[in-house]
Amino acid sequence: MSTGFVHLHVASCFSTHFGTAWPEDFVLAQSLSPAAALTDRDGFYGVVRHVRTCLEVGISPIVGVDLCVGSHDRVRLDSTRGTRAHNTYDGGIVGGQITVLAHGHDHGVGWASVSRLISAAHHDGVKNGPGTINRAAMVTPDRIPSLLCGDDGPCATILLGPESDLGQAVLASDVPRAKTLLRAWKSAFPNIVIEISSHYTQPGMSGSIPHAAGMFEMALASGTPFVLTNAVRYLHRDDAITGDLLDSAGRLQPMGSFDPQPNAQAWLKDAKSMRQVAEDVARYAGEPGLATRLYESPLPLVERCVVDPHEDLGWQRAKVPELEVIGLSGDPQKILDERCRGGLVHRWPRPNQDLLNQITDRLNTELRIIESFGFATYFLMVADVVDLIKGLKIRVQARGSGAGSLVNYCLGVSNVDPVENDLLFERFLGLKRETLPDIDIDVESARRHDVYYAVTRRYGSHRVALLSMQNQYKTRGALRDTGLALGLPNEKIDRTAKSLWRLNVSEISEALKSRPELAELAREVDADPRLRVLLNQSKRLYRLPRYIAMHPCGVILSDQHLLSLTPTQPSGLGIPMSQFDKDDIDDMGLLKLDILGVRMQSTIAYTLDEIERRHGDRVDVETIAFDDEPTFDQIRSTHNLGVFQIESRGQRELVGTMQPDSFADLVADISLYRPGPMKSNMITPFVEAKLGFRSPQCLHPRFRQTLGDSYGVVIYHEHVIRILADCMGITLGEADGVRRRLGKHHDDVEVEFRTRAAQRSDEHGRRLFTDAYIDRIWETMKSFGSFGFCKAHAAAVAVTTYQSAWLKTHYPVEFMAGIMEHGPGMYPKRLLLTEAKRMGIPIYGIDVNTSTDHYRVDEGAQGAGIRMPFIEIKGISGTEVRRLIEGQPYSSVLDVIQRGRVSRVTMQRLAGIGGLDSVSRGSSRGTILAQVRHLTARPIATPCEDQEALVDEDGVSTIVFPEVPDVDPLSAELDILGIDVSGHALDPWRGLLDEIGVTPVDQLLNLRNNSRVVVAGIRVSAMTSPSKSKKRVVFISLDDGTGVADCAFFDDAQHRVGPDLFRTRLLAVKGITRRTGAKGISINATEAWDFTRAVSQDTSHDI
Amino acid sequence: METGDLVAVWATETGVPQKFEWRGHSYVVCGHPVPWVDRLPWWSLGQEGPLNALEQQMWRVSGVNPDTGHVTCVDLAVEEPSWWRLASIHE
Repeated sequence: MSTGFVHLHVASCFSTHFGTAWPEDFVLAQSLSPAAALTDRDGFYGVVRHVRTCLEVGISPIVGVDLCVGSHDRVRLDSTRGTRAHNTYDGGIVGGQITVLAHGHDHGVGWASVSRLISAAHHDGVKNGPGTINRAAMVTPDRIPSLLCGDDGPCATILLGPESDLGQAVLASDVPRAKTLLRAWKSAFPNIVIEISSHYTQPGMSGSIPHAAGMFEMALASGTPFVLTNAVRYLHRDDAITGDLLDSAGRLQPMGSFDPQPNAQAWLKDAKSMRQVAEDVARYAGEPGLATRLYESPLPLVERCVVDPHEDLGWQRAKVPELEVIGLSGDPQKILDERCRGGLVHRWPRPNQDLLNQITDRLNTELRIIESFGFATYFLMVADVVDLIKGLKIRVQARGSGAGSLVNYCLGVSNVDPVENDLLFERFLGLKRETLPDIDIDVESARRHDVYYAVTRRYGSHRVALLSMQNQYKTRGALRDTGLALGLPNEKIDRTAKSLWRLNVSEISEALKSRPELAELAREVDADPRLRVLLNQSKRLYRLPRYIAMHPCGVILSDQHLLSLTPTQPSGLGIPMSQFDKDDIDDMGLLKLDILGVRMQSTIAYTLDEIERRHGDRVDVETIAFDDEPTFDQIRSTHNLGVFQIESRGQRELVGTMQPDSFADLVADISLYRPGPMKSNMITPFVEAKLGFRSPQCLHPRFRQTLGDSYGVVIYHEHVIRILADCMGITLGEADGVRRRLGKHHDDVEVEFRTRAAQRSDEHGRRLFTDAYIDRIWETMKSFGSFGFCKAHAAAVAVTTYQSAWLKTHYPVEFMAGIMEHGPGMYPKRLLLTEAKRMGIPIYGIDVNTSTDHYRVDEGAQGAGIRMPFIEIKGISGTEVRRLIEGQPYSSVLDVIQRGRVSRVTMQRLAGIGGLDSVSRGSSRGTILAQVRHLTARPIATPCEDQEALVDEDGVSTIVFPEVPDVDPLSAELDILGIDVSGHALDPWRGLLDEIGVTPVDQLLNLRNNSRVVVAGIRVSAMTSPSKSKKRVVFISLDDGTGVADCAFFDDAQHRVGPDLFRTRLLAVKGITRRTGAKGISINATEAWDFTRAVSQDTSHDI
Repeated sequence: METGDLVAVWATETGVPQKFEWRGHSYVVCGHPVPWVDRLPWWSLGQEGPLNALEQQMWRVSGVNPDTGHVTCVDLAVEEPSWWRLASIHE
């Protein structure tokens, strides 16, 4: 514990590949200090956790950042980018690192200035400058004065330590330069403090005692304030080893091939050790009497830099965009009220009086609760975002507990009727809370980025940021990087990682002992001490942050001060990414929307488009009734491939057993299909009650209606909430609070529950619940801490399930086209095709004239079917697809070659799967393939005088290719799914052919004229033409995958070969080469035979 | 080979060397001795079990031979309280 000394320069594990300890652990280790600071490299990644832990422990937080500084020269080069004015800075700050500490207790100005400096460093800076590893950011010196000074002067302090340009000048004993730099810094910015820090490195190196003493002397001589730190990167001395592993991982070099940390002095030193440092530095500087002053030097800075989370950050206070941004003004609650009433009328055009009363009561209740939370603006914002998305014609719906809100339903944010489905608002917004509830919004996956851009345009880029997440080291990465550090051979590391990656590092030693499939690895580990070291030391990396990435769906929406709270860095999407992750958002009071791209929504949108294209109507799938019997027939058939959430094998079984016949059943199915309910036997009672095998066992008669939607089985959080509220005599909001505590604190809850339930009585003073009932109810409540499911969420999901099932039932062709196009769900394309065929939907293969770049519904010989798109051709490029489409329609194979302008390989593949059938006037596929190969071969053989042109003006081959049976008819599905069509039928024979001494066709040209040769291949053509001597000559062409060999059989050869000449498909031909031109060669054949039969006869055919 | 030699050292209570004897010669420490910490490469020492960071306490001292007036600058590795090991010599 370091009591009494405050470390002001500390890097946590959020300094990628540098720090080794969690911010929380640093704070806990300093719980007896007045304050704790965090100054990670390049960002505020860990500061929210840091502040939170400081609050919990009761000490004051200080935050800052460690940044690289760009050089004067680099700024000049960068100004050609045109983003900022040319640097006019005199004297120049050249490189090095600085630490910037934010001032506090200044209404957040200090924090904001450092936050903006960090953002500038990421957006302006050059990645990976010389000598910097994994440093993504760099601050250019001219930015500092403007960003770090507020209206009242500077709001941060800059520390210049041993790694700063000043520090390096001192190290080099270049006093004039050091003085110049210090002057330049001071004239640029008033709050410069010289950081005295020593890790007792070897004298002459950076961070040695003499170096630190030199800095100290400099500070004293120039009258500059100074501060003692220890530039901390780990908690305990031995954690230096973790530091080594990270240094190695950051450089991708093993230990020993680069200069490692010079020692292990960079730990969070205790007071005694820091006092020693102060004494050693002071003594060496010749000022032993100043040791105490040096030791106490952090204190004035501490005072200036302590942050007040409430005053400076609005800790846990909700920050939502200003109403004006969405074009509204006035009282948000009133506006919300009006919008809801308008929405109500839209949702229920003709309610009867009872229903209307019910809905209005419910609406009033919700609005009152929202008013008490002060969240009206939040709801209006979310509704605005949803309207924005709808305006882009993108499908959208909310999921999660927010789907249970009538306000959301009236606003069009959710699509589930909460009254009809008996959902609870309190599940969404229960007990009073400061932080905003999470809301998940499903959108079409294909258009998710469009949504991001639209939200940014609407709210302004200073109010919107993407959420980030820190990818952590897991077992595989930990083993790999540790193995790399240890210099183990790659192959060994790979094997070990492959066997163990599914386990947690802590489970490995046990697993090695007990699991039979790891026995071999266990033996290896016993034999090789390096592997033992690997397994032990890799634990150090486990769970440490490894790299930051964009969160897959989180978007932060805030007021105009967002960038004062969070630094941002580029995301790759053109929208900045916050350095905060999902755990930081709540405490900072920021609103987070999870905008999830759901492929099924894209599928549904695509299906609706196809329906419109083919039938002219726009089906509104949001208004279909939830009681369509054919749809339920479809669902009950369990042929649910493609239906949202119920297509797995397990679901097939559940649906098959349960036989859903209402929307409520679907909601139950989705809630029950989870490990908890499945293991704990919730399904059986449900199914038995539903199918009438036994009467529903109700927990208590009072709950008959509550549990009516699930045949008496408690499934939903909403059930638990209602039951708890009734048993304990508390409000629904309070009941939700109790429900949340059921998981962890059920002993306390039990006492409360039993007491209150026993006290509940009716108007005559009789107890409502007997002890027996209380026991029974409690037992059920206890287990529902973990197994219950949020009905609102299940209902939102069920809406999509129902919609997809409805579309599959009523528009199967369009729906399956949508499924193939967007591929949602778990099954590979091959199975989707099989399903389509099972449904009787014809699948039309790729056709050069009718295929496009999407799966489309097409009318064909067998009616409406799905036309396969060009993109399914293996290896085809986007450009080729575009060209093919642009050139449609084609009239012949030659036309396709000439105007389609795709590669030879693509042409061959197109031919091979029948894509050219429609322009080939009935030729067989093998013939077409041969044609294509001829026509696209380079160089094309120069025709001889007595040979006619290969093709006439129409592109029809002049050579009569008699029909050749197709080689290995490849079924459409296999071709289209990208099995390599150019896998050749000859492949199984290549070994044999090599033995015989066959020459590949593409090497024939290398032979001298009149060489004896044997070729072999698939016969692709056989034709006869009279020779000059009036005796028939047979020309046989063989395709061996490298080319086509033309073989001529004159009379005597014909006799020798016999009928095989025309019957055999796979042929070997012996003959003599004959050049027919510069690049032409043919073979005068002397013999031919079916080599597939010749295995035992090859001696007679040796050359 | 001179490095690796044992050196007898007389130091203050706080461990600052004041006098040392090496190969029979006495030296009086002059100037400012510099404490520093070196590191042994755990990755090549073939260790198993819990690794520790393996540091080596060092002092860089300049000693003057009172007889000859010759000043030698050496790095001494602190091993036992009074017997240190010569690590390197600097001219």
